[in-house]
Amino acid sequence: MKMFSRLDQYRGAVPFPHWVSRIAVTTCIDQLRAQRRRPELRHADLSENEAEALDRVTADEGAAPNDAMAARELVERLLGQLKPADRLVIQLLDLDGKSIAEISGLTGWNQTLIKVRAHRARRKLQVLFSKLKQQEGS
Amino acid sequence: MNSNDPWRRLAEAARRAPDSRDVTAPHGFAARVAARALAADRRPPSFLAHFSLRASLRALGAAAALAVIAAGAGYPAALRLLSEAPAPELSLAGGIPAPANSPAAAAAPAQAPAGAESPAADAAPGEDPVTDLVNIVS
Repeated sequence: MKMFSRLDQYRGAVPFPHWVSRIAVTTCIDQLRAQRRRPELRHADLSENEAEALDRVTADEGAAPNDAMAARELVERLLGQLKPADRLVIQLLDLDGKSIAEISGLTGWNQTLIKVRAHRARRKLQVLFSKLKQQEGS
Repeated sequence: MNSNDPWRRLAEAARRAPDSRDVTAPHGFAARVAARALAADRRPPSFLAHFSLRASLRALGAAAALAVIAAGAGYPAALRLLSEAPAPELSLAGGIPAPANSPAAAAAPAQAPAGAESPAADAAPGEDPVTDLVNIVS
């Protein structure tokens, strides 16, 4: 709807797919910002499969989770704790497998900003893993 | 992101999960887009477009009125000329159309060649149009 209503604003300065993707990105970020801030993730909130996936990835031997669906659900929970822009970057970079240049083309952000956001998101994820591990032990 | 990073292992496992996100348009989306498109068509035209349209219509009306006046003024004279003008006749030998009552037309049969060299001379003048044409060309 947004794209349709803004068609008269398209001036051809950038390729049409880029223009569409930037509207989509902006809309998604606005939607995430409008959502109510989610409460802090606790280990007790995890399902049995998610807790098992968490145990496997945080174990010393570093085994991958067997249940891919549980891993995805856990990823969604963790991403929900990030800021919308950081979440978008880490989603595109680590889950969708896009390059920094591709993300820059999609979002219009410069590559340095994307790297900073990715670094900040991963650091936040490490903190979350540590907290969940501590809560599991307690 | 090192290989022992729990996030990396979790993301790799999550990537193996089938994407179950619903990508279909929400119910009523097409109707909303169509409604917006129709609403956009009903928007009033700009001042420039409105002015151009009115000026074009006025010019068209003036041109039509002038055409009617000119036709009305010239019709009696044109009708009189058409009724008085004699029908043109093809001269038989000279190749120049002449009125039927002119001296040239009266003398034309006498000027026609009567030699035996031309096969067209065998035919009587005025009987065969093709023969007349051949005589004119020669």
